[in-house]
Amino acid sequence: MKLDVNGQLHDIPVEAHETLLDVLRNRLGLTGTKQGCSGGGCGACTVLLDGRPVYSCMVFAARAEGMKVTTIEGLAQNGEIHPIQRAFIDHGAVQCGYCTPGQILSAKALLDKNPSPSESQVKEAIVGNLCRCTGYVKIVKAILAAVRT
Amino acid sequence: MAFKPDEYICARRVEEVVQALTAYKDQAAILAGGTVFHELVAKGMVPQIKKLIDISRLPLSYISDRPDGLRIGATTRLAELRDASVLKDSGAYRAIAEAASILPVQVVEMGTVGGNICAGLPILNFPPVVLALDFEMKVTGPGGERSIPGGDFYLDYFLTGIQPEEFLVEVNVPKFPERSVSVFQAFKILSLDYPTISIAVRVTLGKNDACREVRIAFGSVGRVPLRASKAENRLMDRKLDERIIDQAIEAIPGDINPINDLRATAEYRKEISKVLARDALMKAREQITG
Amino acid sequence: MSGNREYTYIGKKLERVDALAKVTGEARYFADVQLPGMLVGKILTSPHAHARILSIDSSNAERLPGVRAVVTAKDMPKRSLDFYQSGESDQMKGHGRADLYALVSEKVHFVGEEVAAVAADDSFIAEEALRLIRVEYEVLPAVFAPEESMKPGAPTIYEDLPGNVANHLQGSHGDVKKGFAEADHIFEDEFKTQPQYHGALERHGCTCTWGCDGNLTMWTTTQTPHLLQWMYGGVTGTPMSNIRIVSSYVGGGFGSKTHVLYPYHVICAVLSKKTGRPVKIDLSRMEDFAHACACPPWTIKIRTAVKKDGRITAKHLDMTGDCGAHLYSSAGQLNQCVTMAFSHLYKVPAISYEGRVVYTNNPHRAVAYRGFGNPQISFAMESQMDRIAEALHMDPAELRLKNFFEPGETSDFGWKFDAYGLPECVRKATEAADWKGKRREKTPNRGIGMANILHMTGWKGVFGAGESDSTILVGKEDGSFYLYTDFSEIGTGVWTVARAVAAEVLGVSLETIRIVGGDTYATPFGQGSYASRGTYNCGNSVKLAALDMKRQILEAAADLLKENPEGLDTKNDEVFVRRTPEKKVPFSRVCWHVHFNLAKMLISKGNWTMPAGLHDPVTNRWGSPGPMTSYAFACQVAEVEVDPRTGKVQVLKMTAAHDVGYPINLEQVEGQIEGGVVMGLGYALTEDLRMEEGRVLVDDFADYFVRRSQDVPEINPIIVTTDDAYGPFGAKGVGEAVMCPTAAAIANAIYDAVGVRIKELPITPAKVLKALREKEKR
Repeated sequence: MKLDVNGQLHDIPVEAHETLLDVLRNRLGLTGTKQGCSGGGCGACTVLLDGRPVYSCMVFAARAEGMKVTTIEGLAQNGEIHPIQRAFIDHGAVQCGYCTPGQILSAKALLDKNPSPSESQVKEAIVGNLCRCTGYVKIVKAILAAVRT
Repeated sequence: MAFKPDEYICARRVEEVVQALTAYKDQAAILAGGTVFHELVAKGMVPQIKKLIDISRLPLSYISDRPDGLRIGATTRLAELRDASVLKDSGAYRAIAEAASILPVQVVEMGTVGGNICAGLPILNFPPVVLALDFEMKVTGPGGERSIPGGDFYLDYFLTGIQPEEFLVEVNVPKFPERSVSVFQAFKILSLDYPTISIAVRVTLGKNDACREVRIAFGSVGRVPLRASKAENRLMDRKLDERIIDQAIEAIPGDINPINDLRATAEYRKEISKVLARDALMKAREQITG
Repeated sequence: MSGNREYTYIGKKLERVDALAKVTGEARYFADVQLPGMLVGKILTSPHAHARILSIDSSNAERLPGVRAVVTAKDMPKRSLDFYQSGESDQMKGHGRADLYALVSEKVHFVGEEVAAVAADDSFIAEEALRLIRVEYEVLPAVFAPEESMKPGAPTIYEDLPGNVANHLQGSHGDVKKGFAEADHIFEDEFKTQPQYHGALERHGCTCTWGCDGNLTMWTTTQTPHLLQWMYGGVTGTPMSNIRIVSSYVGGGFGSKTHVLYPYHVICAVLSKKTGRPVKIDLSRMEDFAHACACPPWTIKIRTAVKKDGRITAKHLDMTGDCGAHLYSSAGQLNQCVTMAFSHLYKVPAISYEGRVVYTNNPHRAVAYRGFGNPQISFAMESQMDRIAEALHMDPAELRLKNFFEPGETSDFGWKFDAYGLPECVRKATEAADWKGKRREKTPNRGIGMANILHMTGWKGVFGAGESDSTILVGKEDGSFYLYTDFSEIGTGVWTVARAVAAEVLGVSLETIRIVGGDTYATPFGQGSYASRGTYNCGNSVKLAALDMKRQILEAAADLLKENPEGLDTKNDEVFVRRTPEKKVPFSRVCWHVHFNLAKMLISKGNWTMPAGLHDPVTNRWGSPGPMTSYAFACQVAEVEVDPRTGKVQVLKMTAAHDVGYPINLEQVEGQIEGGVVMGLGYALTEDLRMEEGRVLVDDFADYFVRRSQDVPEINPIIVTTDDAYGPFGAKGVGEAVMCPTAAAIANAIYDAVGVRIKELPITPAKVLKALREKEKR
């Protein structure tokens, strides 16, 4: 099947049981997207499908044919990191880093749709991204800061 | 046996789906959003599935408000239902938008109303709404289309009235009289959780503000969603004032059959069922009269 | 150290060393390593809580196409994985029992215990192979509660230990009888705490590969790579120089990946050796929950004698823990509860204690959990303090202040309380939370509660007398540096602290220093990340290494500038003459000079160990902790609102004052406080690793209630600085203290709100509702 990931078209063999997460990590070597659980909603596997945040461990790879997949590796443009990535660095929103790619993509989906969200809307946007380290405080702060850039 | 399907069918026509279901029956699974299905896979509950039938490309995503009621396509995403003004700004259909307001965003963007209804899991939001709003499930199979009334739809955990060769294509919701309101609420321990207990309520007021129609349906109180019929009866033809509501909700624990599980005991659910019903009925009253 | 702090980096806003790699997805964790020919390893675990293994027949599995190896106990090392616990090794005696093996051969002791393993071409074949392994069991009666386990006639879990008491502790100090006799009031309470699942987002596992010269490389996720290397070597008899553990980035640990060589580590290595191919064991979240790491559940009874003016005259503690089928570090946890919180949170002239850790057939792994028993004992002690305050009509904060030590005082056990920020934490937290005002207010169903704790910074004596951490600094030819630290970066920001300390001392810009950590191939030996020792131990060892490096640089610069080294200093990547600062030379020139002209090396080392005694006078045990050098003090104030109809507790605000000595990286200290408070709220209100009949009932995060972004109240972190004499730039640890007072603060706030005291965690809505109903009846 053909899979459009971060603007690049890949023609890859895919088995029926493979999830988008499996294909991204194991066939395309894009290991920025993580597997944190068995489908219980930790959010570490979050990617964007046509700009919408989804759990890639809950999407069969075949389902994503004809759709645009965005992973964390696709955020930087021309060697420049995305303002949300910058904001995470600048506001201490990164600790162990395992949830970070998923958080950033959920944030991007929000800001692309709603350029000036309230704090409550930001919290809602990342409620599906579990973080065990930060208590979410600085993640929310970083996303709100990214709004201003 | 591990979950290892050998075919992923991206269906383009309804007939294709019916053919595949007829050929493969219990070995086939319908996939729309997949958000429930993948959990079943993870828990090792669907090893027998060999054929995945993806219906997300069928033209079954629509919300149509007609004089005789709503028609909602089975693959309409929950996010769309949540945001549809014909639902959230209405009185009678509001519970649909409320039930579709699922967290997290990753699930509400992929999940469909059909999936939420057909999973046969009363912990999901829609089953009590099916009862409260008298949904009719339009399914299609080798014998053509037929309708299953909501009251007959849920049979057991994971078991609905849909036959193995059939699948849901549309949900019909009746047109309710003026002065009808519906409410969906869930009691959750944390923000991102399945409901410990959920409720869908529909009230139509008639002459002298007395209840012409009342539906009180619960999720997470048994193997299927359940109506609190005794409580409904106590409210029929009565005004929705606090005293009457308080008296009616006392009948609820007798009509529901919750279990002990990781979220709560049966006893606690029975306690909360009354609180939840009170809140929902008061809210409904406020929305109709206010 | 105190007074005028004009630092370039210390205490300033610091960008984390690892942040860029993590926000771009470039940071690699063990599961991201993909090797050609890599096989999938899977482990067959016991379905029974207690059974004898009669036979294992793996022939069908071996014959399955795609299966490359099947192993059982006979393929594993004979030595136990925790050999150091038994006193078998010189390093540690009396603290525990060696009871952990890679694969069991005679008996299974819990559901989830490792019985056999396979390596296969893919996960389907591996799972099929597991299904084909036939194990014949003789099921034995099992016990799932310590009280049952200790009863005469209970099933014996380990043949050499009838009665199942894995560890027992008892003692007293001072005239306890007198202390109770002279009391005006005696309070007695029993508390129960639940097992909490660490839930680090990166799951357990490892990838192993061998070189043909017998050289093992293991990528894994561990907080203590060097200890893991040492343990693996000790278990298998492999020279450590043949073992490489790579664990630079760790996706969270919280104690679940702390100095334990797990069965899966050894199994993976053996499978890889046997097949001659790389093998990855990547435990799924469901597998992880099934035999989950968790803090042990405890029953804690405290009896406290007080005078009517609030002074505590004596205390007695009785504590029982369920360690499941392996001791792990639970004896150490019990010990720490006694020596730390029980003996030293308050100044009490007489204490007595008895505690035990008991084997059961429960499936949890009683490993270290953030706080190491302190959240549990503090929940008990601090809940009771509020009860005492109420009975004596005293403000709870006043009662606590009355029983603290004096700053600078030494306890009867030799714990010297310099940098004693505890009273200041109480004052600042209560003031910031408007304690007095809120208590006066009495808004219905709203309440405010406090709790304070002490915690140690660092630990020593687990394995030997001189446990330390090390840093090697290498100056490159162009003036940039490699900093080699034993520490993995587990998320706490220790690499950033290391870089800041080095840059501060050296006088160079941060970008010139590259951190290499957590790879035993390159980094020197050290204990690693646990016991709140990161900033403290790593920082101090970096400081020593940097000071020595600076000396070497100045010597070489002196040669270039034709000056006396004593007259030189460094700043902004340059060495300058203090008298005439315009006379200077860049680092790049100096370093080039050393390498290409002087034919010398620029290498320095720093090794630092806590200058603390080792033998703990409280419990008379080795390394328990003994007198510490630095203490992390804290006070947290919780404000809650309780819905009396449902019992649901909404946390409105948390004020958390923490004595961190001095915050080297303020933003990360705040981050630790925020994260720790949220984890503490989870412990207080919703998290519970439920088990029944020897099985964990939870199988994924959907059923294990960790707080999410929308469940976080307003958190106000307050940093208290006390300039610790031993910590680098005055800093102390904070990583565990952050979740120790939370549960008690919440319980106390709930009592203030609606008048019910819940003594069993987690404080679920059902428990509150039930208590409210009972209160109504009375």
